Amino acid sequence: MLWGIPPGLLLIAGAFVVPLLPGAWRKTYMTLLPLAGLWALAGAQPGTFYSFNFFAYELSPVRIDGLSLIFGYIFHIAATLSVIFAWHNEDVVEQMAGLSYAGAGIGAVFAGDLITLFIYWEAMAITSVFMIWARRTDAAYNAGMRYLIVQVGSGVLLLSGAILIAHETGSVVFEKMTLGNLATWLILLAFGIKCAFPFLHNWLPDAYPAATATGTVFLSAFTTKCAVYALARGFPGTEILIYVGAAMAAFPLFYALIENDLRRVLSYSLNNQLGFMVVGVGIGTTLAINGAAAHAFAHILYKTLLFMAMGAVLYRAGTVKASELGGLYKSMPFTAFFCIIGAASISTPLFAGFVGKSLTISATAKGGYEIVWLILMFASAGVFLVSGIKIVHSAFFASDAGIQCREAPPNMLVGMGLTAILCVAVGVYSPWLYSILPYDVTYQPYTMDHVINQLQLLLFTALAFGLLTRFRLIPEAKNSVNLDFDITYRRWLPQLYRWLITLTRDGWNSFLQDLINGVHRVIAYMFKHHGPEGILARTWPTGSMALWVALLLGGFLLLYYS
Amino acid sequence: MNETTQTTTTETSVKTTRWLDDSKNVDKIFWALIGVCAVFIVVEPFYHKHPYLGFDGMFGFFAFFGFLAPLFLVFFGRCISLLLARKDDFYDAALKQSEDNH
Repeated sequence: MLWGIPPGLLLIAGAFVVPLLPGAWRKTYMTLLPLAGLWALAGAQPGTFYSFNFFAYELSPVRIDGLSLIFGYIFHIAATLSVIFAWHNEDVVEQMAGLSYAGAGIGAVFAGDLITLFIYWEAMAITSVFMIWARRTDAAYNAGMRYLIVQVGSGVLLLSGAILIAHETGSVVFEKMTLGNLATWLILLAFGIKCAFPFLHNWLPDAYPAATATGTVFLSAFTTKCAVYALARGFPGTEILIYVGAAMAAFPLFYALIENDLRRVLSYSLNNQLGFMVVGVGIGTTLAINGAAAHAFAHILYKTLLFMAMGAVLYRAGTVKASELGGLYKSMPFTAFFCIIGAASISTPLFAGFVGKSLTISATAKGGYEIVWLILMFASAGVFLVSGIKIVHSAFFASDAGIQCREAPPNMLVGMGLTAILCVAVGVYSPWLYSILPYDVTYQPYTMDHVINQLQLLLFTALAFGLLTRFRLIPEAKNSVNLDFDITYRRWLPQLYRWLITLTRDGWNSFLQDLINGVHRVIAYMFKHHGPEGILARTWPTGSMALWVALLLGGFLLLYYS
Repeated sequence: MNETTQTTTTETSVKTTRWLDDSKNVDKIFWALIGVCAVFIVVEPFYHKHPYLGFDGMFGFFAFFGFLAPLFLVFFGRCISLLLARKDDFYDAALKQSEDNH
């Protein structure tokens, strides 16, 4: 560890120096800081460090092992690449937020206990929201607020679970858990929110497209992959995750296909890729956990590259709406080239995604999960269509929208270029990635049948896309909101709340009105009989009383003598 | 603000006709793709497969699957679009309405 500073904390503490440094010094410092962290990590020994007692519990802020190291490496790499991509950005709040957010993510994957995890978990939420607010629009403010509520909520669930576990077991060590009691379900739910499980996922396609051009690049790397790490650490081999992951891998694709905002398309496809990792965690064999970690590593690289390309388009063209773009390869040829590398890296042989994803898919097949395997195959073809072909085609090659702009700034190109080199390097030389996996692996992704089958899948997907485009069957890109589960809290719950308020208010008012009316009626009734004109208020003549007395007396006599 | 710096360049770069601007060349790419796909079907009998699940060893399984997946995706994507697409001010309108009420 560098100067004895725990991984993650180096970046968080380092972020506070940022505003003190002038111009180019600041950028250099920001680039070197995560590199220094990476260098320190390369020489780190496995073990638990800095343990101390907090009340009755032992906290271990730093635990280094195979699983945390691979995430630590890629988080440092992603932080470095994102800083280079954002080099032109002078917004000091975003710079500080970016570094400390990366630091919180790194800290979380090295957390050895649930309390430390909770602290970094919330730190990630609080720092990352500034990437969204830095856009400084009303829409971004609102999206950021929704994002923050969901993320902090996830942390509260995590803390509740941790407290229950501490109460039950007397220990807060973050290790493998078995679902079965409230505590573990709460923690799974907390992880599930950050991992964008179905029905808990809406914060992702809501917030990421709302962030700044450079902010989304940061956001795409850390939060969700940190959740994948937490699942791999806490719930490996939990069978329900296989099916949750399969659902995640498939359903966001339909939304990605019809979505117009290309950064939202990428957000949905990010959600789909998380599904593969969750399936891997659910299967839980060493091959599958290796698969989830390798896929997370590769995924961060190519998704960062795709978000960078779209960020560059947003920065230069002013929009990432598919309906407003097209033909940009003329103005931004390098960005187009890097975007193609990113698209190819999703699952094409010789690129990062192929090397990463193959492990999980093999683990699914070896486990005999036929249906899940078929869903993952569909998801592989589908994500290549929406996140690869659609993105590249809509932005750079579809009919020219007439946008004339400059190529991306040099720092963006350098950021994209370095990421692209890593995507190819990891794909071409697979032993490098496999050597840093949590478990020893003897896996050969480049067998003849595997390569041919993968190419068949992708080429025929491309062919189907070509035919669908020719027959104009691809859904037309248009501005629309495609209703998703967030309608529950963005529309229905507020409506229900307003309805209940109206109901309560009107109900109370009408109750009061009825009460007043009732009192009025009683008074009117009394007045009718007892008022000055009322029957009971009349003076009675003495004659009538004598008559009544005589009648009563007569009646009494009759009864007495009969 | 680091967004939306739409920068215009000189007219000359726009006027140049690129190879891809000609639809005949796009056709060429399409036919080339068909050709490559055909090659990948032809090679089917000439390599050894290791199917894990049985059905993945069928002739051209990955090719057919790759071809059918987008059709399935597009069909249901269109259905979802028909059912769930709303105007893009859907949530803004709701927000505005709630603000008006207060």
